[in-house]
Amino acid sequence: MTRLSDMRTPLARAKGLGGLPDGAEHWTAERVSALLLAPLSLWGVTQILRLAGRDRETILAWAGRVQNAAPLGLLIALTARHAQLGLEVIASDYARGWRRVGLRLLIRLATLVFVAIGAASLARIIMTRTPEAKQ
Amino acid sequence: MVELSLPKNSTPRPGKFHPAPSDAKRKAVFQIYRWSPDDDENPCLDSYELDLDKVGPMVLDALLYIKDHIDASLTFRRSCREGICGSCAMNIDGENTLACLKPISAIKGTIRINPLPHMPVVKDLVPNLNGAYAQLESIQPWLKSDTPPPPDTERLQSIEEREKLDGMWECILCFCCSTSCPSYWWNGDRYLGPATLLAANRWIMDSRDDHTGERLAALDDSMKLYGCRTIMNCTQTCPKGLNPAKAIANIKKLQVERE
Amino acid sequence: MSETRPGNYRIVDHAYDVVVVGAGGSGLRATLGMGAGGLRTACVTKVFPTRSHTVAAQGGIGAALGNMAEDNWRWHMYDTVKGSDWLGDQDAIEFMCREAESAVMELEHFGVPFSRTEDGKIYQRPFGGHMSEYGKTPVARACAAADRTGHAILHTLYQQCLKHRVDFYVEYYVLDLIMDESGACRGIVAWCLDDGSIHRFSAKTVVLATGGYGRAFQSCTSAHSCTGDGGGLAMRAGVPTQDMEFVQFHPTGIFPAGCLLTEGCRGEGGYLTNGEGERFMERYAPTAKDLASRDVVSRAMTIEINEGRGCGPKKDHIMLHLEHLGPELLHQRLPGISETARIFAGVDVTREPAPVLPTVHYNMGGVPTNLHGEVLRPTEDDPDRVVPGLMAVGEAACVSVHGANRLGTNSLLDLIVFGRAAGKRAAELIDPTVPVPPLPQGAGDEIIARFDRLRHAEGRFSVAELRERLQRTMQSHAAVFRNTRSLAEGCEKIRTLWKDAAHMGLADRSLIWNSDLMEALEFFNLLANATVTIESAHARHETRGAHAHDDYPERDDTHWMKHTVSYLDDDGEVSLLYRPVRMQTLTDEVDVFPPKKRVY
Repeated sequence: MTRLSDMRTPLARAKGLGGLPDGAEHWTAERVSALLLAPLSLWGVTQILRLAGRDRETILAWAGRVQNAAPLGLLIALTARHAQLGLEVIASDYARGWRRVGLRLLIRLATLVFVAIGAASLARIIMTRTPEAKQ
Repeated sequence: MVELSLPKNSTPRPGKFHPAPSDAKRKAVFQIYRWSPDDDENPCLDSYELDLDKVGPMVLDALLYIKDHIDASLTFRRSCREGICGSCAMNIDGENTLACLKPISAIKGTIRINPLPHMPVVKDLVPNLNGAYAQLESIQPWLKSDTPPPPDTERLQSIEEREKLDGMWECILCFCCSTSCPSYWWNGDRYLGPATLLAANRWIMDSRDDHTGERLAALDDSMKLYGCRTIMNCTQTCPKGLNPAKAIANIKKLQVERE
Repeated sequence: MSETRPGNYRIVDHAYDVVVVGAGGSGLRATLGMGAGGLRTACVTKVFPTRSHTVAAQGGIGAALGNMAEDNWRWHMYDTVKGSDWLGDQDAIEFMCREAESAVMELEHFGVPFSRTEDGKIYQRPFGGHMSEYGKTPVARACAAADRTGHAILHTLYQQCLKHRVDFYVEYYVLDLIMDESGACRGIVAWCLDDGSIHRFSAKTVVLATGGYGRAFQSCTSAHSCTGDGGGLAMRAGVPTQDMEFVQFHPTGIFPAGCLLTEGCRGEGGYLTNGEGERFMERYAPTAKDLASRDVVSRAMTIEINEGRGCGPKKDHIMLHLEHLGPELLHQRLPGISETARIFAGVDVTREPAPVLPTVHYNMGGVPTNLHGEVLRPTEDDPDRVVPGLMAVGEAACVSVHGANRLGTNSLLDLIVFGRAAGKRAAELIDPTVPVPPLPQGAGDEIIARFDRLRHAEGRFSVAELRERLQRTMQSHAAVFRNTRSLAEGCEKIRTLWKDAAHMGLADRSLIWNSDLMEALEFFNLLANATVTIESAHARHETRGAHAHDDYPERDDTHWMKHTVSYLDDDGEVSLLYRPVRMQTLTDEVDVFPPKKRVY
């Protein structure tokens, strides 16, 4: 935005700070995560529909199996990553200056928290399943 | 940045109405944004009712008629009147286009004319485009080659290589595309906008230019290039029928190829 | 740079080695040469550079590259001399045609996106009046970038100026030249539209590159900005103009809008028909047919219409046929034309012919210069006397390479060759280590006073009204065919217009982007150019090139093979002087072409 007190040349303003040199990486990651999420989400939704109404034990047992736990983990991680990338785009469109910096930090932090909770939950399900399987 | 309401001093108020002469048979009302830098007034929307039998076919003809016969203070840029100089870019009937190429008959009801959106207004329909010109300059839009050209003859270029420039070198720098792009409205200071990116792609694709890698590296930037959100207003609005969105997609594709 | 404030005006002073007025093809080429040559150069322009009218040039730039078939710069020179109806200066024409090849190569090296041949060279197409072997058969000589060659060249020159970090003053309108007592040019005064300030440039040399004055006519292919500002500036400063009676009508202005359809249409194989469907050009030019030079084709079209063989219900236009060329070629070679015809005439050129009419297109006349671009103020004793500190290039100048009629593609060539030559000359004449001499005391005061008077003018005639009267007068009295009675009436009407122009009234008194005031200033430039045009035409009792005189239908080399030099005073009175045509060559690599009958 041009203010009267801004006496830089138009070229200086046009060049400005410049953005982060991660444009291509960010853009590619957004699309790759979206591509991977498409089948994974489909799988996730089907499983939820299939398991709907089952008792807690059955669901925990399902989630504890490696062939289910692995994609579930991937789904959590990719959802987090994709959401982070998307939210960052929104932040850069709708906020600027320190507010944008703060928002981006918040988004990253929230992503980490989301992944941490997901990972811990999954870990606990797998751990608790192991003794049951032995019995 | 997204701003959802106009600042207080830019809300337009209703303006004067100039009726057509009573003997006019085919009439149309042109509602035109007016703002003068010489006072502290808000902009206003003046209406001019014209007798279309006395006016040429294009919106520019109507503006010239108003300036010549009704209100000589009406201010707008114009030059070639055939769609090649890019001077008379403005927002007509909600769409950015060239007044000289827009037939009056293509618009139903009141014809609303505003300056190009989201640019600082100098006066009436004249926007300040210095920022857009500087962005164009920032991508170094000239042939860069470390190979000296053959002294007495042309650099060779095949017909196929030359064809890759079609749809880009024809750009007339009217900035209809950039000023139609919401992402450019929000972040016009950081996102280069479709017109400049089209120019960038024109040099990236020129077989005579050997700075392709440097050009791509300079554009690998979260805002300069990736400020594009694939909204496609640019291609929709281009009065020359060019496709800046495709050019931007090409740059993004090449960035991936570089990984 | 310093600032003062007399009266209401904020005045900013600048000092440069060179100030170029205008940013079209010739202005940018001159700016580039001077800037890159180490001179402190400013380019002052009333429109953003890529909006200058060079952008609308379509067909090509002429150079005997021989990429399509054998060609020779001597043939090009002969065609240009013949095209000029032997009014062009042959040393200047030789210079231009010899320099053409390197000028075009330089443009290619700058990055102009020329169309290409199969073997990767610059594509060339035939154009009106360009023949091989001294007038035998048409030859492909127009180097083209589709049908937007001017656009390609202008944008490329602007890009090169950006590369070399040229100082541009964009949307500054030049009010007048600052002259000193010795008659030398010392700078300019300009008005910044953006903030209303007045800028006084002192310069060792000023270059006029302001283009033509097509807008003095009602129907023209020229842009609204083609208002002959250079001619106006020069004549108010006591510098003359030359050969102003020669106004080119382009055969194919689209009817009725007047937008240009390039001669390249006919170069690619298009042809004209009259209301009876006849390819009438075969009668007027048995060899070149539709590719005869523009004055010949425009006259033939006008005769057809005048004799009742026009097209349409009013029999008032001619048809241009392209439909036989096929959509693929039209798309590849003439895309801009197809678009223009669709938008402005509602015609799909792949299916039907486009309506066309001869339309004012180019001014062969202008500020007289030598072939280095230095402006001349000829006297009876010295026809080549130079005005110190003033140069002119492009359509604003008259070198004269176009004589009485310009060949298509030679205008772009003129811009580049003489823009470059002016740059070289400035580098020879100017020592950048010497400081710019200060302006004389009170320089520009009278210019600002005139500007202030006009800004507050309260007469009864609006700018638009006066301009329309001027345009009507020129359109009906200085048309394709002229006669003594009509020219005399025209001169009388112009004299009345000078009286009425003193009673001009403006509606806008502001300083920022006051386009009413700018149009008023432009009107006076148009009026100055138009006045000398019609007076020079009235005085020339012969038919030569674009000046077709019904009462004197033959060329008269005994009495009239000479340039008209026109001086204009502050009251609109014209005094004419004549200057010999330079019948000499620059080198002994070619002989002078003696005058002969002009048949195509």
